[in-house]
Amino acid sequence: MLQITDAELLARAEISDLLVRYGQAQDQDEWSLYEGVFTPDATIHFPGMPMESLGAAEFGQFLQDFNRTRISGQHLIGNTLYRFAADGESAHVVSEVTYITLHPTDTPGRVRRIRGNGLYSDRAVRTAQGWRIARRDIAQKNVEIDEGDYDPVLLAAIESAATTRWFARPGNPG
Amino acid sequence: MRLTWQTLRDRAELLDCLTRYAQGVDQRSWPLYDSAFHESAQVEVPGYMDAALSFVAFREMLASTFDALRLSGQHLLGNMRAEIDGDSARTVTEFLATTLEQAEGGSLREVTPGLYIDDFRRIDGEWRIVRHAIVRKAADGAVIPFASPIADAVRATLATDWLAVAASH
Repeated sequence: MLQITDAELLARAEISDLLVRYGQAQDQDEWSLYEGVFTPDATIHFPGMPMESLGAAEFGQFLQDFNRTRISGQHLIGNTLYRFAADGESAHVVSEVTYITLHPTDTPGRVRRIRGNGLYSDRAVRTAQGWRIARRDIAQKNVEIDEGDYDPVLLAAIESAATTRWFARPGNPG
Repeated sequence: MRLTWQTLRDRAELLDCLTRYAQGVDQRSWPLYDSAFHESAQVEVPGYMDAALSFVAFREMLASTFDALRLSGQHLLGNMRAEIDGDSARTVTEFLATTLEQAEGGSLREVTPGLYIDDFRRIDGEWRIVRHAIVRKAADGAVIPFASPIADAVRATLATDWLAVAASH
């Protein structure tokens, strides 16, 4: 029977924070969150995709450049499975992800949608600065691309929300 | 960041609050929905509502505007980031909503990814939402054919109090 120790529970939470920081960095366009997700020498791989492996900094730049082509995006992460090494200093972490990004087209009000499902396979390591991802493989399970028409009010609301710094928003009225 | 047990406990309670909200809305369990909010809580939906509503007025809008046609709804929560400062907290949480409503020729399926931005206060030891903002990242609807046995099954689930069922097992 699997028994999770207190130490492993804390480690899982800290690794989960890395996954959330990565997802929200690109989805909320808040790149300070991306710092500290990967080790400086981490590599990111794209099995089956026509794309060379990248270092963490290169990949971060790639994502930032991609964000300039999009209106909004979401990478929803779930079903994370953790397998720790016997010494508790590293772990293999596999998560499902479902995603959507919206992109402008030449026609006002018409957007291009990229929707898909995939998987993150991560090797996480405990460092002096905390847990970090040392290697990520991004696997695609499904990708669909199409176009659709959006109401201008909705599109304006989406664009506004995508550029809002939510943690900087003033005051808790309660 | 090194996490502490207190932070984990707070996060679990914040997530429980959001889950009560989501399941309250999805299972149309309004006491569960109400239990997520402080009595003064406001709800904002930029681009959909011109001004914030009280959580009670928002609940009444959901129950009156949508339920005539509603078949089912799911607001799946994920990727929650929290900043906790004493008895105040803010969370930013990704959600993916899939809703079905009756439409001519089948069912209107709407898929909406978005964010919940929530301000919380801990009052008398209990976290409650004081401001709930809903922002959308996309919204795509399509009428899909919906075979009658499935529609009947979906409708049947709407009338079920799943927490009561679970408690009776």
